[in-house]
Amino acid sequence: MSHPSPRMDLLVTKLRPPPVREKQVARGRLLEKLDAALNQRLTLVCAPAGYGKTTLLSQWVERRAEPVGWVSLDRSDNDLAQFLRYFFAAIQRVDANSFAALPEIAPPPQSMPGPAVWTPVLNAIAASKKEFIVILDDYQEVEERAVHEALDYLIEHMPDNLHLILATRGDPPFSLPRLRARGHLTELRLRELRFSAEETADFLNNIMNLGLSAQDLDSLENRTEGWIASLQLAALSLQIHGQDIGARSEFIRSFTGSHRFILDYLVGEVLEHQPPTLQDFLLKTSILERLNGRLCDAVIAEGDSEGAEGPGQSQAARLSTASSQSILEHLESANLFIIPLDNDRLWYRYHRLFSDLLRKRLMQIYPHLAPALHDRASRWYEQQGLAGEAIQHALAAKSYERAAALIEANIEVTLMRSEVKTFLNWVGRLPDGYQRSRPRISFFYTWALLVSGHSLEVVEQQMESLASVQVAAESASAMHGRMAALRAYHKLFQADFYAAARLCQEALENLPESEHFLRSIVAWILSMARLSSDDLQDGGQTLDKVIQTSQETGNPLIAVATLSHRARLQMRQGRLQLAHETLMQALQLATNPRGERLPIASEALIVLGDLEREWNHLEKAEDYLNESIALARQWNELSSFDAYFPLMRLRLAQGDPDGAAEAIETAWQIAHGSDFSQIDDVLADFQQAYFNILRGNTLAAMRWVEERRLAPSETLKHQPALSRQQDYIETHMRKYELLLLARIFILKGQAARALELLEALSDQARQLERTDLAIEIHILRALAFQQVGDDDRACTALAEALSLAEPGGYVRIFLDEGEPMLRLLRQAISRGLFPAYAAKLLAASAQAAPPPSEAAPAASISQALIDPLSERELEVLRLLAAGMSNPEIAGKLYVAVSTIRTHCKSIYGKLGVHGRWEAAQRAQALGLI
Amino acid sequence: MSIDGGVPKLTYEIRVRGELDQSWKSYFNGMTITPAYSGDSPITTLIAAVADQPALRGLLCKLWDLNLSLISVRQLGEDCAKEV
Repeated sequence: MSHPSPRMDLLVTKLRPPPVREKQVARGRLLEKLDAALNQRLTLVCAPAGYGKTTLLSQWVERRAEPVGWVSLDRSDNDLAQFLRYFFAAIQRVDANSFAALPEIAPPPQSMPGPAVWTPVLNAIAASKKEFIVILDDYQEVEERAVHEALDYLIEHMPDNLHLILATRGDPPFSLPRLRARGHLTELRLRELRFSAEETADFLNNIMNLGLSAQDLDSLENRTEGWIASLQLAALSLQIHGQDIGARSEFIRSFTGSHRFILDYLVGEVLEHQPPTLQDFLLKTSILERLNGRLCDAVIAEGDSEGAEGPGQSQAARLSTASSQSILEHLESANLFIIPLDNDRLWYRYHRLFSDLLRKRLMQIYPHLAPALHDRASRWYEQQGLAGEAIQHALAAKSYERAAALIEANIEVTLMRSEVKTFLNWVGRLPDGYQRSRPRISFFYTWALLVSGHSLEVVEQQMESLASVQVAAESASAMHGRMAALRAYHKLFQADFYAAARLCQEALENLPESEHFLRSIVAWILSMARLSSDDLQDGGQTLDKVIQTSQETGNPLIAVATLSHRARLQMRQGRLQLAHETLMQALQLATNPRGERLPIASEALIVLGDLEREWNHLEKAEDYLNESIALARQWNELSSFDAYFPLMRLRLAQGDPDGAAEAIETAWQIAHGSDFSQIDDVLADFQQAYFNILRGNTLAAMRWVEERRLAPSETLKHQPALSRQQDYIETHMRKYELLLLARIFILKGQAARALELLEALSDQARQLERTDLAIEIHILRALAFQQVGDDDRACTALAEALSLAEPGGYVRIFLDEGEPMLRLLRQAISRGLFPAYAAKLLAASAQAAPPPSEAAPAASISQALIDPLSERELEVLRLLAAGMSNPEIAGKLYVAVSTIRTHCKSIYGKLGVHGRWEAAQRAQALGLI
Repeated sequence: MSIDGGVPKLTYEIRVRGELDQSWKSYFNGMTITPAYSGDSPITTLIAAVADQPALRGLLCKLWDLNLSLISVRQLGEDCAKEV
């Protein structure tokens, strides 16, 4: 059921400069300036179209003994994944050996934002002895911010032996002034790129052999102002007049005397003097992005002057146009602005300026012909099995019926490759009527909207209009089934699992057997709905069925999502190695034979990233998480949401609190950007609270406690299977929230309350077989006992945690607790409790040794005061900041209230504040608490 | 999801260096094209009605791609709109 996508192939033609012509103007000074690029990070060749940028660079590349990387960019490179693939392929051409050893780049890499993607590449380049030059031609085609950012980063961090050359029609959005100031930038601009008087003369008289007088040369140079494209056209016009001096003079006179837009004038001149068949050919093929002999044959039909003709061609027509290929070759040798894209002369394209002007003439001369031409192109592409181009041309032809038919035929293929945005784009260009008359398109369009995280309003509107679609009686049941499936999906996202499950049953009852794709989706939704309960066993079995079905139908989407979810469950049970295997299986399914990852792989990569983080493989975790975020963005932004929490914890583990804050911030923005569900908002709040607690920011954490109305005495209810959204949030999230509350108690020095809460949670965790929660609970118990000085109980609790954690090899769950945990681990070793494991953990913490960060746990102290606080004063300050009154503090420390008052006065003085609240603020700011 | 992008709402006057004649009308989707002179150099004034900013951007890109130098871009009020 899945088709190979031609789009995923690397087009070799993009990786080579166009062939260099034999005779070209020698632009020595410019070539020398490019040579200087070897001392430079970025060389910018910036001028409008038609100033010979590509030609110059091709010449330069040819001169060089060593290979140079080249990418001819076009609109499709606005996809970061594709851009990077080509970029890396270009680098590999420079030195294939350096990269054979790096498996990360050998197969085409996947799209990743920011640093992670460049690191292995830059390291490999830096380690190599070679000079790496990469040329990016036509950079103005890139408009996607993600690509600009990626390159910006690259330019900032390039090793000395990497050099980038950008050819573009307009300044790229990098910080050019900064680069100039630092001397990292060389520029070749319009002033240098236009033909000088000497070069004009060289071109016209030597290359084109025109033998013009000095005066003529002068006139032409003035008129064209060194615009190379116009000089080329002028030369062609002059060549046409051959040796007829009168005609040539006439041409020059009219040309220089005319004020008409120069290129328009010249193209007109040149065209006028071509044989009619050639003119016809040029005008009609101007609508094509790329030209191929057979494609051109199909697009041209001899003898149509006006209006649309059918695709069938007469015998005569076929004979006379069988030479499209030879026409193309003739155009190339005549220098008529056509560029071969490969050495086999299979594909060509026109120079942009030229095709624009041709198209303008086409519209002027044959105002109604364009749609017919697009239609023929569309049919040709369809026959070749290139659906994407076929659809684009059909839409351009406004052949909506055909376009709709093509889109409908390719729905599953497109969606299964997670190319949701492409599909949405196509359907968006169909007038309403065409969508409505094809219920399957309507339906999947709605589904695509849902999946890509569009606002609820939009989706619901769509669903309403969908429901009103008139359908024939026999497919009413199928339509019913589809609607039920759609609603089930919708309910799933709203965590209304009961309704979701009910709708799934309805869907399965009504959908015909032939609707494989939808049926497997429904099965998945059903298993997700069941899994929302903590009934792990039953959930596991349902998943097995889903995986089996989706593998049978060849639908990786569901299988991957399901396997990822199963891995999560396995992690909850503490079976980390098993989870890893499951995830590897999922990744394999989500990777196509060429080694490229489908967007759905992001689901697996999130869990994998979290898993590697837990094992303290921080670099791997970083790679996986970054990759998952980038892939998820192609699928829909909302899916990337889940990645930011493991990312936050990763950043904290790396000693990068700013990075952690940034991750939370991004998650926040995503959550608020979508009213799809309340759950993400709650989750974002929760993670923010966790972050605050880890940084010792009790004030913010307390505010969260109030907002969530977390009564400490609340015990955990076992969540009934299939509950509604509110219930789900209240009960499902509650246990995590209560764990956080326990942390807050410990932070505030209220160990007793923490322990009380933890006992209750512990029972529940055991019942639910949540090994992960159980480990965390025991760790917190250990920390609480430690705080009150009960070392025995602390070690016992720690031992329980270690015992549960050892099989899975947990690391970070311990290390994230910081110094207090390290003390406990040392104690455990000295008591002979899990000495090997504890020692391993201690060793791991020594290795990581992140730089001292602002996020100092409450136990450690950083003094920035002239007159530092004493130990006692710090103790008082901590309790004070936790909200205790003087009598409470006095009671806790077994001293008189007056003593506390004295301490407070001293503290205020040293901190330079006047009251408790200020003292707490100041203390936090200084990192004292 | 409709493709005919609604009724044009904004009218812009765009001046470029060089002379574009009426043959360009269809390429630019029916703009008003008026040649003029500023001193000795030719200038063309184009008046275009566009549906929204992205449409304007597309139009400016077309001019840009042809290497036409922009002199000015001005939004016209409703009362100043010429016939399209």
